[in-house]
Amino acid sequence: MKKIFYTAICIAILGMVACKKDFLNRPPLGVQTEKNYYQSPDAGFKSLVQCYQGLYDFYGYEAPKAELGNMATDDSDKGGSDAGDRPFVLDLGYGRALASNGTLQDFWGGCFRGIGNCNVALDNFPINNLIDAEGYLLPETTKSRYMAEIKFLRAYFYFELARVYGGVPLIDKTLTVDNKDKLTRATSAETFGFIIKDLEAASAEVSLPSKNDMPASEIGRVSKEAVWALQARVYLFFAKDDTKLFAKAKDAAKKVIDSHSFALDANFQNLFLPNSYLSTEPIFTVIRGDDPGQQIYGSFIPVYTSPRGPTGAWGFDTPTQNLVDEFEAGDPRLLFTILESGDVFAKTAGEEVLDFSSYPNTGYHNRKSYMPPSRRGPGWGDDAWTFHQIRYADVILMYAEALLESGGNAQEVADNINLIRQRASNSNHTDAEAVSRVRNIPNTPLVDVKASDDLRKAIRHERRVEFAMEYQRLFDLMRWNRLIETMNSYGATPKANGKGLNVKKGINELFPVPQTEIDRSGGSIKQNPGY
Amino acid sequence: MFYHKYLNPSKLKSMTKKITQVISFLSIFIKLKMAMKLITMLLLFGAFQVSAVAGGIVTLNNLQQKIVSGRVLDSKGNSIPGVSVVEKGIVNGTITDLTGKYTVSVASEKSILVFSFIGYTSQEVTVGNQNSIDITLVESASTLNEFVVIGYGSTTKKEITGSVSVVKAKQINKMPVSSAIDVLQGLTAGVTVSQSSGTPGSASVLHIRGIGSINGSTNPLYVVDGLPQNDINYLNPNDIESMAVHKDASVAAIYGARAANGVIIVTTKTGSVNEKVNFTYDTYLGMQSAWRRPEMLNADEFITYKNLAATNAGAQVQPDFSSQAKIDSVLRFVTANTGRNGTDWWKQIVNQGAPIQSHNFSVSGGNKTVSFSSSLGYLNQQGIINGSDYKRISWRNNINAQVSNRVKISANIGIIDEERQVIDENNPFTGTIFSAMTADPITPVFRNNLVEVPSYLSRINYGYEPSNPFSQYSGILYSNKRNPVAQINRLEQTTYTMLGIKGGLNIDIKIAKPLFFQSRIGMDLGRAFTDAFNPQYTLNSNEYSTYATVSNNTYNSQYFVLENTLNFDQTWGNYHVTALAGFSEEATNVAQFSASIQGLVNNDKDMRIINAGTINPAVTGYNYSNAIRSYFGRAGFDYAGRYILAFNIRRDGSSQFAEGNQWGTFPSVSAAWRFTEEGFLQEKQIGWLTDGKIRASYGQIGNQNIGGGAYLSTYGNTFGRYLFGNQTSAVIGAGRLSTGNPVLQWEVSNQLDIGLDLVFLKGKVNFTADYFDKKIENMLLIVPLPSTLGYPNSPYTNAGNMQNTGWEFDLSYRNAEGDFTYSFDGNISAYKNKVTKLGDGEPIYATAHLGEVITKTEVGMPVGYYYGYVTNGIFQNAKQVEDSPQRDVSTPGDVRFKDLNDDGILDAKDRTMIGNPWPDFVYGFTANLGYKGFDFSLFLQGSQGNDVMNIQKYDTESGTGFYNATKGFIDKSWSGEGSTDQFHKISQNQGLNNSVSDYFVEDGSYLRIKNLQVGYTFTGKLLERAKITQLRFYVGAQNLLTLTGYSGLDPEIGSSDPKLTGIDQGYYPQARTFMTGVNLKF
Repeated sequence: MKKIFYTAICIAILGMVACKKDFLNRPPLGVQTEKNYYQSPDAGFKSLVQCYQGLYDFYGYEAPKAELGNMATDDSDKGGSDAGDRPFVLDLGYGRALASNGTLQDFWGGCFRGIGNCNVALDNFPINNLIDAEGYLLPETTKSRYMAEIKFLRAYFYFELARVYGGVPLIDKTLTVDNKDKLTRATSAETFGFIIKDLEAASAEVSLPSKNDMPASEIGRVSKEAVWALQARVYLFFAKDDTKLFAKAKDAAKKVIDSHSFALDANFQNLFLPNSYLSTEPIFTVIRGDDPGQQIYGSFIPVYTSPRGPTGAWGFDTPTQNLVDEFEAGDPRLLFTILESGDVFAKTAGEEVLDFSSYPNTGYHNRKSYMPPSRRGPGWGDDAWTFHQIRYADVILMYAEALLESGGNAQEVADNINLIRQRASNSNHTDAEAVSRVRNIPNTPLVDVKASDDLRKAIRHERRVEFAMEYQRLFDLMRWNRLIETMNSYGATPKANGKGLNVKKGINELFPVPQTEIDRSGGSIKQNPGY
Repeated sequence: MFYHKYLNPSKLKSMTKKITQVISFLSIFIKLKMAMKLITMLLLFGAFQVSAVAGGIVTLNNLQQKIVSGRVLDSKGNSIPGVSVVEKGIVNGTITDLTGKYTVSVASEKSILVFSFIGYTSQEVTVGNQNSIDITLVESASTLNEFVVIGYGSTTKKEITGSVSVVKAKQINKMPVSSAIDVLQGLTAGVTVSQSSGTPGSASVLHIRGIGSINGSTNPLYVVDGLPQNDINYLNPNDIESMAVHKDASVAAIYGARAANGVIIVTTKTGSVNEKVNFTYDTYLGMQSAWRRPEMLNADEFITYKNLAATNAGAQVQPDFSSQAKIDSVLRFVTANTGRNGTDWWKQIVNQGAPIQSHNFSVSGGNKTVSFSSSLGYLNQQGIINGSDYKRISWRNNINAQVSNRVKISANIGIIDEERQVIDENNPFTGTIFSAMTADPITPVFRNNLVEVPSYLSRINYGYEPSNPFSQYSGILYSNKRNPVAQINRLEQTTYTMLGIKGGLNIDIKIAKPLFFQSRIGMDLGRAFTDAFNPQYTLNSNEYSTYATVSNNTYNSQYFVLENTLNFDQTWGNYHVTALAGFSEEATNVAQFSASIQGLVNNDKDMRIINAGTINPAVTGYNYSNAIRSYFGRAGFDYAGRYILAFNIRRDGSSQFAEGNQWGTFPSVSAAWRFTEEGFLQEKQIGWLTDGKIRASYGQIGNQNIGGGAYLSTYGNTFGRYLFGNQTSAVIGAGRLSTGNPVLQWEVSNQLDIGLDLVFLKGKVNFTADYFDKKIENMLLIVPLPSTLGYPNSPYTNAGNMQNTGWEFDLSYRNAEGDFTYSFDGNISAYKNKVTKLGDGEPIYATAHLGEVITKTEVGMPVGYYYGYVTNGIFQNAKQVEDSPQRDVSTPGDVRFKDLNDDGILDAKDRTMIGNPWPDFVYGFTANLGYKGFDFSLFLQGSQGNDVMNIQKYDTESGTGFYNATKGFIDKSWSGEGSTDQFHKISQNQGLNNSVSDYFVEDGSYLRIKNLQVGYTFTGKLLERAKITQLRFYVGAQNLLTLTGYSGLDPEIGSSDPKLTGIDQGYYPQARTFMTGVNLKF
């Protein structure tokens, strides 16, 4: 009897526990799956936001853009504490970037992550009924506007890649792990075609509004004009391979101008002061704020590129004497492009006196990315540093250039250049944020360009000074087919320290594809010639 | 080559001073807060014990049982206390008292009693109708009949078929260490313990037979009184009765899922039935010091160094040192404020003579049916670096009750309360130890009473607020490092507390012979709380905080386990058959959240409350849950103790995998042949060979130890904000968060073990040898994918294979001649680790300081070997530079690297293996000597053939002149053609000198006197009259001497990431401790 009793107890204990069927079903908490995410409120808009977030990525986007666009050129040197501080950045301008280069690896990864986010959204939007934040079905027009914006962003990231590496693998949908050794690079022309296709789809989308129809709360989002402006930039870049594209670039830029949605800011420095995103000039701008309480973390660029010493910054991206010499006397833009030792800015208590003496540098720093202490907020390193990816001055100069190269009216070209020069002349000549600046800009207005001048040279000069330290230099030199010559002759100058001297024709027009991508794809991605 | 600086007579004076400090510290050793905790615990303890014993007495009335008593004597007729008297086949027993007497209740007349005691041959007696059984045990130094705990049961050392090492309380008590894991260091072959930090209370890294995984966990499974644990760092070593290290698959396989890295079964001390209540008090007090210190340049030398670095690079010198007049006034400033040499930062942060004290009080006893033990421990340890103090109260209770002659219940509960402060360590960017080595000697520690400040140094007063104590420190003048003293002061405002409650309940039911049933419920609750505060302060533009921040962080974990086993144990003549079938379930739930806020009114202690904050409130939190369900079985056959065979099988289901891949089945088989039981080989014939056994085992074990949900692609908030239209209100992004791998499944470890156990000369000599081959297949690995795929992460895949093969030897000798007893134990083990498959073959690189690739893991090579350039001396002249591939980047005096592929270019392709962090072999040696009341023990431990990557040299000998350098660096560095071919020049322009190369690799071999102890045990009438059973005093030292060629602070560098082993990134060194202790039993 007792045996039966104890056996019963044992069976009961065993039975108690062995029934819970979903005992092993414990998926991660607080997250969703592909199945239910797109049915959740506002999933569409949030996915769109995630696509924009690629532009906030410091190591994957902002830093490489500065390192390539500025520091790899005659405009700016690497800077930092010494040669050993991020040495791979130095290699970019010496024509000896390795396939293992950190900048090139990060940039490739950053852009493809952005593309990956765009692809996930573009895969899932058409096959799901999206709902808005209140739970109502999202109107088709809103959905197609989102998709137009995402296509713009995908084109934007592909264009960044195409300029640096040439043709890249064209991925237009989310791939599975087993596709990793089937990735192959498209040609440069195919990549161009892919970008243009996305941009044409975006510009054809009727629900994508014009800047004029967008409320102030949507500043920073893609407008129809932003698509046209990017089209102009893309056509102009690829016109180096096909001169017929100049006309297309001209037409795209003209559409932006004719929309009358933008105007040059009366004061040049306004573009780099707080609230610059409210200016009439930005066409595609990346707004940054600094409010950790609301999880708003700004850009790291100001700390990365501001002078070392008392500021506590890292001291990268130092403008060269060669760039400074490019400015004409009386051009106030120089004051808003560079900083020098002895420049003084206000602090809550006392003053911040810039002092470049304790580390090697060119004697200059980037004013456009320097934030005086008053703007640094609670965390120096997360700064409300808004950057304009495309601004109206660029469209005007692109128009002028495309017009010139497609055989347009010389006077119209000169007039457009002069719009930029006159705005500069009429701008303030003193730094609105400084207590005092070492450099004084004499009040001599810039002389107008005449239709009889060398207009190509004029445009190239104007672009260099107008967009100095705004990450355009490398890509301008590339599309003018002037990168190798410019860097070689720059290398011959004494202060270049040999930078640019070994940049070679047939190799350094493009940068190497990261070796990790080649290795991890089992060799299906191929390297550029010469690397 | 060894360092005995602190034994130097000139240091004795300061040591005496420290002793006085320790004594005065002791007088207030239990501060009010601790006293309250102890009193509360003691009250609880009393209530628990009273109710438990009362409960036992009540149930006693219901018992039907046969009571046997008797006495155990040795061959000389002396009584033996502490002999284990156990009823065979079930969990029931007692030990003899001081007079050798015992009383035990047995189930029936058929019961067999087993009498065993270390050093004696066990005896078995069938009870029959006897009520009194006296036994004479015959001495035999052999340990063959000792019980060994295995998964869900026990066996004897004689019968075991696997590779097991057992460490007993006797050995553990000899090692006054604060962590239960450290007990195992060097004691058994095949187990490597390395300190991941010298911080008190920090976890050590333990590997059994090499590393078992690259990305997953490499920890073994610990089973403490049946409760599975990931870590036993919390356990008071005093509470441990034995630790059985199961190294191969034969025993580990029964634990399946979690045992791929081996199993360590820990048994804690319990009371015995009919044991008179006895008390023990063990204590030790010690003084810890750093055994080595970094020697850095003084103020004068620093200026020379810094100017040299600038001049050699053709740069302008630091303006503060640009003229002799300026240098003089800087030195006047230094002399007036800190003394001629300037600040000795190491001296400012180190706590020489840091006290450690441990008190352990325990009580145990029992009546006929109930036995108990309770042990209360208190550890208070200061770190040898200021601001890293650790306190632990641990309380462990065991109670066993024979409820009826069929049912036995045992329960245990342990409570651990820890409190600690930590420093920023093992971090070359902001770490305190690194900062103390690299901060310039010109900066004074404090700036509140500075005199003779030259105008150009007035920047030192930047942001000074006289009323703010966190502002009294100087910001480092010549680098971006933190002021280490200020940093310690800020970090010690934060306290980490942890409360752990670990308990279990066992029910044993004898259904009917030979069947019995066991059910076990275990629970492990963890409650961690961080009370963090970072003050508002400004030292300079590198070291400041605009707002004070207060943050609280809580981490709650609960783990439950339920195990049921049905056991079978039957002997038919020479045949002994055991079998077991079982089922278990375990589940973990974790909830974490933390909240922080800024903008407190001030830095005062009573303002450090979340509600006192005003701006930037932030909160984060997460929950997760995982579970394992298992079915397992075992069968064992034994013929005449000669042929022994065992099978294990376990089927595990894990929540870490997707449905369809959750289950894995892992079998093992093991066999042993005790060839000395064969007629022709018996001791009678051979004489010197007492016992011999050949063992072999082969089995599979699964591993699922990766983060949860890796099989799933997840979507949701990215927590990233984006701004449209303004700078103050953000929109939130969401979408794909992670890419999962739905086909993820179990990693399998295939383990082969062949072993030989020999006992010579009636147990005087014991020898064990093992060969193992451990192949890990389907290794759970994060294989880096092309970023072209655009994934947010690289998911886990079952993509790698790895192999560990090795040898282990243990040899011991023990003997006694008259009053002189002595024993020697030595062990040595060696293994080779090799990656045999890795995804598509692309290597995995790991980065350390400055984000540079420092180790590589690839097929055919050991995990995480050092990877970089090979140096080839120093460029002596311009011609050499011009002729080398470094012509564009280097100058004479720079390091010359080998162009390994001879392509005329020095690039990434010229990197190769420059060091191996894994030792050729590790070894340990213990000697125990006893003469009358005196005992002496010596324990040596060492590691041979491992390399250390001394990353600190990056900054301390970089030549940038940015950071301070080591003493002698100026003299030894290159200063012109022919000066040296070993050390590069000092220059701000480093060229490639700081590329990862063998320049930074050093031999990390060491031999250490881990423990040295001399004790005396008092005997005599006085003690007996005072009812004191045992009284022993001892003095000892830990880490007394270290022989090593390594130039850094300590060669013993563990890392929880196998890919970053042996990389010295400002490592918290081990302390040298002198201690004195008392063991008292009454």
